[in-house]
Amino acid sequence: MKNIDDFMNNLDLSQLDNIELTSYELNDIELKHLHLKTLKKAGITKKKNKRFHVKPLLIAATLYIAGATLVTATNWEGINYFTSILKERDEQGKIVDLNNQTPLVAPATQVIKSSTNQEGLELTVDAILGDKNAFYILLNLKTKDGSPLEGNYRFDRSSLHFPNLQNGLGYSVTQLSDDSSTDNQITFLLSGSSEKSIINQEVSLAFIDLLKEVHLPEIHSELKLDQVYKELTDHTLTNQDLNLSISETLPEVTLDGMSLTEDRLQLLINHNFTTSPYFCLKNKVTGTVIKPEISEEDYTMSYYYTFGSITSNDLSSYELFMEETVNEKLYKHGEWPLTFTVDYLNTATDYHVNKKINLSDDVLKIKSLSLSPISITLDCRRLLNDPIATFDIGTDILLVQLKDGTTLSNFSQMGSSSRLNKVRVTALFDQVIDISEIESIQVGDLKIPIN
Amino acid sequence: MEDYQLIELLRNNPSSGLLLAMKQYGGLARYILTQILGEDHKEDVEECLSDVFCELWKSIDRYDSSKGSLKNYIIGIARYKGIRLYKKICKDQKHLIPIEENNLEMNLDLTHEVSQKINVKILNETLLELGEPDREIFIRRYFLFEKVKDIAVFLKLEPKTVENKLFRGKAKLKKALLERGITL
Repeated sequence: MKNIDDFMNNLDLSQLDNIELTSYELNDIELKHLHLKTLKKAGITKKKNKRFHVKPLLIAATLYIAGATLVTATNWEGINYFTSILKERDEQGKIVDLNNQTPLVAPATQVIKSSTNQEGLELTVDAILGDKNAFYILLNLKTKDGSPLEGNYRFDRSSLHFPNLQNGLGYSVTQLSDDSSTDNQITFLLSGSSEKSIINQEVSLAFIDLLKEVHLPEIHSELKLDQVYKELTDHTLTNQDLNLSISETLPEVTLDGMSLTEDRLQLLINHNFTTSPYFCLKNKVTGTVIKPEISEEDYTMSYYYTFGSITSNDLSSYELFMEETVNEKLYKHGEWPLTFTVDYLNTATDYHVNKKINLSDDVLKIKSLSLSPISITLDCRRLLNDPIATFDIGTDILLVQLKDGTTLSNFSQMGSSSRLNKVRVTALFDQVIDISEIESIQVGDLKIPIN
Repeated sequence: MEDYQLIELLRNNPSSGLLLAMKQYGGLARYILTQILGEDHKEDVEECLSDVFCELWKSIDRYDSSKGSLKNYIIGIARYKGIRLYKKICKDQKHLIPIEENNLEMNLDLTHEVSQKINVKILNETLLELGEPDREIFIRRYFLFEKVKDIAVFLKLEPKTVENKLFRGKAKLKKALLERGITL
């Protein structure tokens, strides 16, 4: 490196603290464009379920990201497999042999049974199974009065803290399918990975506000579209706040604008649904339904619904209705904190590697790898000095070759963290693996023999 | 809004978090990008500005508040993204800072962890030792790519004075690196 400006890439950014900098302020229109463009680039959609139809929403894995570790791809098979291991225990609390492999994780399993009560709900950390970097925590939530917990639930927020980890921790919480959907309990599995070892660390968990999935039927609006149209001062969106309240149980829905040009009706609807409801028009005489051609998010969190083949004369014939959909509502407000100490045996074995692999946009040196019956962790260095760019590594470059000739490429979850040029990747197997049966690990173009 | 609140919002509600981050720091990021890409590259600045906030959202979990404010973190991202785009647009035909002004006249070893750590320590210590306004001038020129005449106007100095201070700063940095640094 010979250039000062390149060398200044390493400036301690706190040196900027006392420097007064100019700002080229953005006006509202620029801000709106920037926001929309960024959301598109980042692939952020405001709601989880863009396409509106009724389907179990909350049962899907809920992703939380904490610290520097990014958790991606949760695989149901793996989640269910490890849940079975944690759930099926004998009277002494020890795991039972579900198959030949499960005894391998017996030393890495710990029964916790630590509970907290709040608002008539008891949350219990049942058990944990893990290694140095990966972990599965089984949680049970039940009502104290025995009232049933039916349907799908999700905690609005959660936190997971280990004292030795300020960053480098990623996890997801998944509600598991219920054997008895009408009993008073439900089960969650928290699965994740950490940059540093969690063994012998005190875990602080907190779950805040329980949400419940709510199914909403088809709901018709009393709004007279032709009257609203007549009252508009011009035919463009006017930001009129027209309350579309249909039922007390619904989140607030408002019509914020309306336009009708070239036989295209555009409605700007604002709502506080956690999913995106689908508004359609129905001809009151023929029953014909017109679905919106475009539904586009606006930076104000409103949606444009555009309907074709509508003239101002037709408006009186149509009514607005919301298709059957799902939403979430607050079930119990409160915080459920839990603490326990991780006290299982480390089943991981470390291997020195120190070899390079070429990725599409980076070169990695794999310094070492750690293998346990439930996960593989790669400790790497990025050789292209690009500390700010986001680094992603997919499970598609990982392959476990067993001595019997079979290969494993499915993982229940993946976590990666990067700090400057240091990268740590943890992939959780979707089943228990006997590491003495592993022949080699393939990472991209590099085959690492396991002795 | 405090940094920690904004970070929490970026994590829990990215759309609202980004909007607020843009309101709070969009102007600053645009200024940084304009210094790098130039006043006449407005479209590139706008494109890059969205890259900056996209990167902010993607990397928010790597942000370590103990190492500096969110504002400085965004400046760092904007500088990095701006330089990357500048290099792509100009394909190395044009330099952000003239070669003779920018050349440290030594080849520093930043490829190994230990040597990088040593050299970076020297850089940051030497800058602090420069005192004010020399340190600020050096950062404005080599980190923020402000023009000498603009720095002079802002700090109410003669352009020649700014140039002299830059020259002295560069000499001090070079001396410190020769004495204590690791070169190739």
